[in-house]
Amino acid sequence: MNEQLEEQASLYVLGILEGPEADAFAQQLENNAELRALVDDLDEAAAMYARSAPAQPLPPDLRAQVLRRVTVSKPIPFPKRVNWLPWAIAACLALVCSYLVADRVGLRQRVTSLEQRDVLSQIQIASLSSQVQNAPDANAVVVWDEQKQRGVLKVTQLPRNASDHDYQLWLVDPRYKNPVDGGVFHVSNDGSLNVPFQPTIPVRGAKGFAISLERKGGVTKAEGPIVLLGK
Amino acid sequence: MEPHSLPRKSPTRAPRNGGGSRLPNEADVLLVEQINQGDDHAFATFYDRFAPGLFSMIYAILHDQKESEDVLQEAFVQMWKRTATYDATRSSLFTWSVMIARHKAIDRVRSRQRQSRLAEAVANEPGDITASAPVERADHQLARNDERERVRTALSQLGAAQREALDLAFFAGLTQTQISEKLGTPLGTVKARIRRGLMALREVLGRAKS
Repeated sequence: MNEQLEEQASLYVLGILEGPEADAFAQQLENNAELRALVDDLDEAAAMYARSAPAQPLPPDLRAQVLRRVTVSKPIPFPKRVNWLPWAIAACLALVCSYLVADRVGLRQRVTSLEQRDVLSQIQIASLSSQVQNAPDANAVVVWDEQKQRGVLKVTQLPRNASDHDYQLWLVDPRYKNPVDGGVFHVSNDGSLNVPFQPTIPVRGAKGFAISLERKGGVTKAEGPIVLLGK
Repeated sequence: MEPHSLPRKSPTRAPRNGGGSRLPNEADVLLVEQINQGDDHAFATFYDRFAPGLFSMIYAILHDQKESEDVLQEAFVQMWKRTATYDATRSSLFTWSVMIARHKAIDRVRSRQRQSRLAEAVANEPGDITASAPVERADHQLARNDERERVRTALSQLGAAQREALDLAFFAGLTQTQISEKLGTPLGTVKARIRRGLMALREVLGRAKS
């Protein structure tokens, strides 16, 4: 141990090593066991130096005052850490479990919400307008769920079809040369209808919907006039 | 302000590694365990053992009866709360309590900007230990007398210049520069005197232990 370190240790023990020198010394102290031991010894020496103070009578009533003060403030029982540690761990686990449950519930809600949002995002709604002069007010709405490959057709004010004809729904999928058959239907007296449908082949990215008047039972490829059209 | 507000780090320390642990005093360890468990009677015993010496030290620093009483109370309250930080492998209980009490006292000195006046008072203070101890338990008084004898022996081996520098550092709480100015001595000389003084005490106390 060199004199400089001994000197720094002495000043450090007395609390008069200052500034960067004190910081550097404290850092060195963390990793130098020999230096640490020297500081401990010098602590003892300095504490012993306290006994060189001239004896001063201790006021008798001071004892009661001190004891009164300490009894109202309990010490922090370090060793009891062992006793409350399992409880602390249990409490932490309970908190973590609560958090996970809450998180799971929240996650489930989010997933459901996302699923619902996803379902809605998959839904395609098309408004079909009349293409014929004898039924200008005829219209229809198609709700199409591409995910499920199913939809609902709602028509209003569509003229009743002749018994030897059917209306036929078509879905326009660019992948196919011809519109895809969505099924045939006929309307009641008031010209309205609400009917589910399902295309005969898978449809992706429907670009539009059409309703044509076809011969009874429908056709594989549209032949009759387009009555309603929309996208 | 806590003791670690001083340039010196807190008296709370990690165990020695490789440098050799001191043998823990069993009485100290037992007493601290009892205090840790909130035993008021154990703390009263602790007070009886150390309060007289600590009060003398605090008074030597502050030179004010009322302030000294306040600081002693503050120091004991802190010790009561922080007993868990005491490490018997690093220092004796007495050393630990001195560190806390001294920091409290020096803190008070510095906060009131009284360095100058106190330094002068300390410089004029007689260095020998002649005053009678206050009323205290006979065994504690005997132990303190033994310690004083050890200190008297140790201090007798220090030169006057070393004692003077140590007094100004330990009791007056002056900085290195202030001690240098006070003594009209170069800073390097002041540092060297403090080093030699503490190292000599360490050696004497080490010999006494062995």
